[in-house]
Amino acid sequence: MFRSLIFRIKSLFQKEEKGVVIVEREEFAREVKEEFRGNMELLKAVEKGLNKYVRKEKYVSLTD
Amino acid sequence: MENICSDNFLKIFKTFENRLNSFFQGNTKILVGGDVRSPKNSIYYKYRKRIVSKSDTEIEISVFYDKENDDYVYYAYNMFFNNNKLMFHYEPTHKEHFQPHVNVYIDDKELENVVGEGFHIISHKYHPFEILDMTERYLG
Repeated sequence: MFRSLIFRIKSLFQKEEKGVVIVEREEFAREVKEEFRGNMELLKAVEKGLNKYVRKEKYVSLTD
Repeated sequence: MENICSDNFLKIFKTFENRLNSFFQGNTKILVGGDVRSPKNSIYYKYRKRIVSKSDTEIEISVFYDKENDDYVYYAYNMFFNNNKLMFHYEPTHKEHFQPHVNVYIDDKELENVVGEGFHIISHKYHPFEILDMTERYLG
């Protein structure tokens, strides 16, 4: 609980660092879906994680 | 050796790359990927790269990291030796890959036991630097 709160606060200040590309969640979802096509267990887990701290209308799907 | 976590993820992979490049005498060529990719407001990092040395040894690195839980979602380090491959792999969501292990492929075929299951050589060696040590030992 505490850990997740810290994580959420840190996420608000996420900034581009050297060697890191910040991408849109939709783009990331597309890449993961392509890269791990057919690996349903992993896709389900990642979908859950990607949608964890966003409003329902912003959910992305990796398993449809 | 410090454990990889969200705070040192970049530092570890930068050092990993520097050592890998220096091992390949600064003459590696990137075939695919390069940067760490991280989606906005998300718990993940993704990092993918395929490099080749001047002696035509290829290494493929694919890392997917969960920053919130400080654990991998997936990693695979593939070292190619002609048609042979050493694969360091970990994928906790998959019941057969829930702990770090090594798979061996000879002539493009995975080594299997008598009942046709692929060998998973269980290894505690999963830190990028330990995998690098192994790379240096095998290819050095």
